[in-house]
Amino acid sequence: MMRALVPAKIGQAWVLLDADIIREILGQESWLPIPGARAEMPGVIAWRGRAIPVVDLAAPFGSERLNNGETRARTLIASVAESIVAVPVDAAREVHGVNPADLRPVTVTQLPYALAETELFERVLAVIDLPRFVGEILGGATPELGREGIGGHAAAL
Amino acid sequence: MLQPSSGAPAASALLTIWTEHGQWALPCAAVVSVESATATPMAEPPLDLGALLGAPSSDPARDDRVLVVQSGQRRRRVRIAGQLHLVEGSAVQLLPLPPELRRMSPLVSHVATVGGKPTLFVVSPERLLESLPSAPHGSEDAV
Repeated sequence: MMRALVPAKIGQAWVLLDADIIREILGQESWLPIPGARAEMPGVIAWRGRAIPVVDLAAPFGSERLNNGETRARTLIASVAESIVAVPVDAAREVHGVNPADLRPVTVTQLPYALAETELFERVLAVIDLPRFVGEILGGATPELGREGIGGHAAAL
Repeated sequence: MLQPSSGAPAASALLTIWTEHGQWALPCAAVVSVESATATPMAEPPLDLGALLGAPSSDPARDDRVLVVQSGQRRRRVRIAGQLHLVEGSAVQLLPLPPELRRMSPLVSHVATVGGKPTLFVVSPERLLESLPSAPHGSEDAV
């Protein structure tokens, strides 16, 4: 059975997210910064009559973080555990079906929260474990942020 | 009228506070008065509301305002540096703060959207006053 993955770009890095957790892909969305909030969860957006947290993947990837008033071209709405979160990204592409046999252990990309790697767009892209990232934020810890060399091997297209 | 979602504050209008570091609102029903910070000498300096809400603390300034906030039998003065406006109308919708953010913003109960955009954090007067230590002289606590 193929694994459905959504390519998304944050800064110069293309990564893959499991399509089954992506509820919607929106355009540019306004968000409200929370004073004093951590960079990984800096604010809130309104979605379908509810407020949901904004999760910034740029924080662990070493890319330029969302500053107050800044937006990105696309906003992924993801179901993660019992939460729904908004993930602003610079670009998103159509879902790709990847054969599980083509998913390999992480050796090239070295991005935090990478589960596996596969080739797409003639590059090696990391499959990111968004649920674990969000879970660690909500639990008050993001241990992978302390890793050295993060962001240094992002796949730029 | 505002269009509150479930659990929204029972307020028909909001006093909004626009500062350099954030935008907040309080239900007007909870604001007893708005005073100039220099108008009346106070036995105890009012607390910095922005700092309580996660913004950097600021030194008192001439343009600051002091809000007298009341919830139930408790009343306290808080200082705010920023622009104050009244908002009332159908364009404002109140959305409960997501549970994931309650630990980060424990004094906020709702997000107010204007024209569908998240614009303000609505402070719960109950939570605000419950979070504060009693006034040193007790003069502001009991109504």
